[in-house]
Amino acid sequence: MSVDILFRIAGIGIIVTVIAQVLTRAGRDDIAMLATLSGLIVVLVMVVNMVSDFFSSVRSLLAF
Amino acid sequence: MGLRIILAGVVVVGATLCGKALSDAARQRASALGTLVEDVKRLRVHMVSMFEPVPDSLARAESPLLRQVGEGMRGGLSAGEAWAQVRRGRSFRAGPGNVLLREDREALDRLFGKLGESGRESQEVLLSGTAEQLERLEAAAREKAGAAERLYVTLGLLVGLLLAVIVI
Repeated sequence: MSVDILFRIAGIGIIVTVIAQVLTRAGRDDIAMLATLSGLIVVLVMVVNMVSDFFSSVRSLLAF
Repeated sequence: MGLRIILAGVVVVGATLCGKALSDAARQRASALGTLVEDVKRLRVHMVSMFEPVPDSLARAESPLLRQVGEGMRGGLSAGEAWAQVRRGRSFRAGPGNVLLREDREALDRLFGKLGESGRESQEVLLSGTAEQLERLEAAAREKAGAAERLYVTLGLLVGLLLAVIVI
């Protein structure tokens, strides 16, 4: 597993947090919530892809 | 690697410029109100001090809206009727009228509803009152435009960084 993905997830988390903070201070709480949820969905998709690749690798390994 | 960094930079700059473009509408409104304030003040001087007819004074305005009202008045309409005609026109929504908000249009409705229909002193009070109201709206619009520009440029930069991290 590449370590890049971890840095990418951390970067997305930090940037999404800052976006949410900027929007909250500007009084756009609903859009801040949407931004946070969008970031969460993007990261979840990335994690799901990684887990899926992991299980595929394990399956191919055990199937010989 | 170098190409990725360049691409990330392009994405960030592009998104920031998009954010700046989004804040343009707020700035245009402040600018339009500023033009209207100057025109109303000029109108007051020409009409009240120099006794110039209303259509001629309006024809010299910088704002295209006031010039169109002046043209309508030269065609025989009253100020209110000419303004109503301008508001119904397609060029209003597609052009300078597009950036004005409801309170801006209401101030102009009040102005044109009574323009040229009473004595000199009443006209001076009407024009002075409208100029003050438009100045207040302009000040508020400039403040909003500044805040909107800062917000959208910051958001554009952050979204650009996010896209650069996700995609590149």
